[in-house]
Amino acid sequence: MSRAIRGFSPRQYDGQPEMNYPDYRSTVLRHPKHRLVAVPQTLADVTGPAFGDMALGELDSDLIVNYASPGQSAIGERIIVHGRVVDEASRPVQHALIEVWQANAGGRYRHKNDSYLAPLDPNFGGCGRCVTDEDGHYQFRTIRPGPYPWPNGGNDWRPAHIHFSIFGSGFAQRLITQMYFEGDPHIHICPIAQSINDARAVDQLTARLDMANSVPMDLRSFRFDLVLRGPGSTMFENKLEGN
Amino acid sequence: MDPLETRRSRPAKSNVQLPLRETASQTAGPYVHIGCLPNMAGIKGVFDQDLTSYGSRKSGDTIKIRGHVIDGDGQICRDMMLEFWQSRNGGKGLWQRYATDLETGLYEVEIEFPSEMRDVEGNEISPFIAVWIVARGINIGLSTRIYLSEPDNDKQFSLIDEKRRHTLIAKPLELAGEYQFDIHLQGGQETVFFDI
Ligand SMILES: [Fe+2]
Repeated sequence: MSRAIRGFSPRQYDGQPEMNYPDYRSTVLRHPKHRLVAVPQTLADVTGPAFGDMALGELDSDLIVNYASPGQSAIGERIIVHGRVVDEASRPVQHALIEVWQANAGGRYRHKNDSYLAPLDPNFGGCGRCVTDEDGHYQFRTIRPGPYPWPNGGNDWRPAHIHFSIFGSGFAQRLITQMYFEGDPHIHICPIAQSINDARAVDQLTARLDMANSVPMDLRSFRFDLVLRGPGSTMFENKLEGN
Repeated sequence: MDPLETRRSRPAKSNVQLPLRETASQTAGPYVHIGCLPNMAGIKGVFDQDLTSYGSRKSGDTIKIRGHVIDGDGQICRDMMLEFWQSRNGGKGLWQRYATDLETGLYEVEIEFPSEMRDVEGNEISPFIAVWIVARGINIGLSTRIYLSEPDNDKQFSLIDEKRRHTLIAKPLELAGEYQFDIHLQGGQETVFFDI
């Protein structure tokens, strides 16, 4: 028995960040100096772990309460983040696992290496996850994270952001990125966001206020759609094993 | 009002425009562990356990691969996250991920090496483990491959500069079934990273 798997179109680097971007100091010693070596895709690149059937906890997609004591909730502006994950051919990416993490409302991470002055919130852990539905749709509840200062040689502050990790259907679609909030003046002076030398691509990382999907007297909504690499021209004949 | 009932009604304008382009990558760092390995990072109770592996093992022998990730100053990086995808014919396989140790920088993965691998044309090529590396200072996740021995006459390997091929071959350690695979982000030993 066999089924065909389509490969991915080549990655377009012009909407991607520079790997060596000295204004973001940490890239200097951590970017490859050689050119990436282009190779044709293999079965290992077009297949990937299928998390769609993974059992998630009931509160995994609710950062407002998933670390809170019973009856308590995280401090901050209550929001829903939702959107669709599609590929470059507009096809929904179904059953995709999305992991998110973020600072609390004061801009402090629950991590032993974060020593920022803003206090931890005893009711906020800062991580969650969800899986896209048949339509590619996902959503989670959280609080809006605060901006925070970071050591980069100057007076640099990150725009408020939520980190996203997304698994598509193939390992070559794997993506980690950050979601920013519409209207945040820090986006345009942030060396990490500005390592992308393409205003449209930065705008694509910016979630839109979505009042139509807000919950009156409870939460505002932000819409953030994601695009993964699209189908290429190559087809893989995939012989199924009996396992 | 239930947010699940209202979420699809007349949404705001999308942040994405036509023609669709892949969402830009941004660094995973510095606290990637919070989202991907929260229990390891000390955030207990949100997820029962960290998602460190998924998929199925076959009954074959496993090997251990360990090593460090080294930056352009020759320093060991202690904040890396590595993912390993061992794909088998049929699209199944075992995915695993680990952080480098926060104190020592060492990573170690126990893995079953694939017995075969195919390219686009369905040709058999030398098997490898696909590796993906993210951290602070890495703006786009880096893709590399671990081979256990230098492939002969391999279509993919022949595309790599001969002098750099050795960076993709794990070194056998004294104990049978144990290998070392260091990843050099820069420098004379810079590991080969791929555009796939
Ligand atoms: Fe962050």
